[in-house]
Amino acid sequence: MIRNARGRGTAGIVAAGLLLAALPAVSERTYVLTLGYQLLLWTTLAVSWNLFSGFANYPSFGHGMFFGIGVYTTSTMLTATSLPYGVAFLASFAVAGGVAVLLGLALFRSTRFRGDLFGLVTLVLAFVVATVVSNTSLLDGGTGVFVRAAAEGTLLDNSPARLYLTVLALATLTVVIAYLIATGRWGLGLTAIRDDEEVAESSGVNTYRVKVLTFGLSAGLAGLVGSPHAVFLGYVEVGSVFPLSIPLFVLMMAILGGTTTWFGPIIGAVLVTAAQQALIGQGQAEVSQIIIGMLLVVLILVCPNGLGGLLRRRPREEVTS
Amino acid sequence: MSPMQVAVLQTIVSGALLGTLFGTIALGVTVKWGLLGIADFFHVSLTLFGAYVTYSLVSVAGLHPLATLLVTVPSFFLLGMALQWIFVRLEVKLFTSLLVTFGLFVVAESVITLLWSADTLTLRPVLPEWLTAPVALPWPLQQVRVLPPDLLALVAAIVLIGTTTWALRATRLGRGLHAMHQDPGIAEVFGVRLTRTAVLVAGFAAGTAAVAGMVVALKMPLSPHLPLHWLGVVVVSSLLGGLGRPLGALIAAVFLMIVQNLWALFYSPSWAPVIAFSFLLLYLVLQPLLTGRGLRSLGGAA
Repeated sequence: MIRNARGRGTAGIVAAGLLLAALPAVSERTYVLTLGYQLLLWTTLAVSWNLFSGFANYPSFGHGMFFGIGVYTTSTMLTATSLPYGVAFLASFAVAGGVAVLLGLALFRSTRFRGDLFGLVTLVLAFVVATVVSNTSLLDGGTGVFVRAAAEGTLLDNSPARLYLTVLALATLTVVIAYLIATGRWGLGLTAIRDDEEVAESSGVNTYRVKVLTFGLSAGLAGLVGSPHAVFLGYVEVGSVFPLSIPLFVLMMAILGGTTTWFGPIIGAVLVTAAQQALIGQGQAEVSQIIIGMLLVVLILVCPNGLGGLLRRRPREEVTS
Repeated sequence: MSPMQVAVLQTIVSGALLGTLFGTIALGVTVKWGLLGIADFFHVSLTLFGAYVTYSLVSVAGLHPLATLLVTVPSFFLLGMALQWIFVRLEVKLFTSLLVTFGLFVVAESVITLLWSADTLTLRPVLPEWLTAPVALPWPLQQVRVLPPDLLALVAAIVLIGTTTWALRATRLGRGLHAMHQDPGIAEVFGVRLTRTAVLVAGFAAGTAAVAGMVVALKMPLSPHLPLHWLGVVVVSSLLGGLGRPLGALIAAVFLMIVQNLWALFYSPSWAPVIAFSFLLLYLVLQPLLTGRGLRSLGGAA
C-alpha cells in the first residue's frame, strides 16, 4: 500500500504504462505497433519539451535538434563502433543533455535570453547542428547513414514490438518525471520562474541552477527517445531528422494541451498525432502540414493557454515581455 | 590582375550584391520587429511567395518583369495590412507573434509546394536579353561578371532602404511610429492613431517583400525551401544592425554575405551557412562587453 499521493500518482502512471505494454501481445500487426510507436514518441517529445519550456515558460525551438542529436549519436555509435546498443542509448541522453547544459550555462547567465531571443538562439543552433552533421563524414557527410544492418542482432533488432516497448518505457519514464517535477518542490521553483524570475530568485530559488538542469533533462529525454528512432528509421538523413515540422508539432501539442500541467502535452500529442495520421491516411502530406500549421496559428491567437490551461484554472496575467 | 585577384574581387562584388538583396528582405523584418514588436518570420516566406507570383505573371501571363510590381506590390500591401490588423485586434505580444509567424512560415512552404510543386523553377529562359547579358563595369571591375538582376537588387535596396530611413526620421508617420514604440499611451494622447500606423507600416513591409520577391525571381532559381536558407542571414542582419534600423541591417547583410562568400572561396562552401550564425552567437555572447545601438535595441526587445 502506497501512502502518499505522489507515490500513488506515480504508481498509476507506471500501471498505465504496463497496461499499454500488453499491446504487442494483443496485435502483432506492424501498422498497429507503428501507430502506437508514433503516439508514444510524440508524447515523449511533447512532455519532455514541456518540462522546461512549458513549466518555466522558456519556449524553445530546439527540441527537434536535441532529438536529432540523439538519433545521430545512436546511428554513429551503431555503425562506426562495435559497442552494444545500450551504450549508444545512454550516450544519446548524455550528448543531447550535455549540449543543452552547456548551452544553458552560457545563455542563462543573462536574463536577456528569454522570450523571443531564447527561441531564436535555439532555432539558430538547430541550423548550425544540421549543417555540422551534414558536413561531418563520421556523422553523416550528406549521404545519410544506413542503420538497419548495424541494428540487426542488437537489443532492438529492428523489431516493431521491441521498438514499441522501448518507446513506451521512455514515455512512461518521461511522464513520471514530469509528474514528480510538477507536484514537487522543483516544479514550484519552475512555476516561480515562470511567474516572475526576480521574485523567484529573491525567494530562494536558485534560478540559474534550476534552469540549466531542467533544460538539460528536457533535452536529454528528447535525445534518449531519438535513440530508438534511429533504428526505427533504418536510414537516417539530415532532411528527415532535422525538419522544422518537429519543433512545430511539439510546440503545437504542448500549447494545445496546456503548458502549465504535466498531463496537458499528453492530450495534445494524442490529438495532433491522431489528426496527422487521419490526414496522411488521405494521402496528402502537404495538406496535413498546412492544416496542422494553421491550427497552431489559430490556436495561439485565440487561446494561448491551451485546453489544459482552460480546464484547470483561470490563467494568471502574463508576466513576460 | 592575376586570376586569384579576379576571383577574390568577383567574390566580394557578388557577395555584396547578394547582401543588398538580403538587406531588402531584412528591411521588413527589422522595422516590424523593432518598431511594431512583431517578430515576423513569415516575411521571408512572403518574399518567396512574391517571387513565385512574379514567376507566374512573367512566364504564364507574359507580363514585363517590372510591370509585375503593379500587381504584386498593392496586393501584398493589402495582405500585410490584413495580417497586422488581426494582430492588433487580438493584441498579439512579441513572443506570440514569433510562434504565429513560425507556424505561417511552415505553412507557406507547404502551400508553395502544393501550388508550384517542389521542383526548381527558373525564369531565365524567358527573360529578355537586357536582363541576362552581363553588365560592363568600369575600371577596376571590368573583369568582374555582374548580371542585371544583381544591379536591380542594389537599386531596390538603395531606393527602399533610403526611403524608409528618411521616412522614419522625417515624416509624421515615421515619428509617430517611434513615439508609438516608446510609449503607445502617450503617443495616442498626442494624436498618433495606433492601429492605422501599425497597419500601414505592416502593409509597407509586405510591399517591400513583393519588390524583393521580384528581384529573387529574376536572380535565382526558385524552390520552396529557400526561406529556410535565407532566414539565418535575414534574422542575423536584423539583430546585428540593430532592430528597427534598416540601414544597419543592410550594412550587416552586405558584410555577412561578403564574409560568407570569401569563406566559400577559400574553404568549404558547404560550411558557409554557419558563418552568419557564428557571428550572431559571437555577438550575443560578447554582448555584455559591447556597447552600441544594436545592443540597446536588443536589450529593449528581450
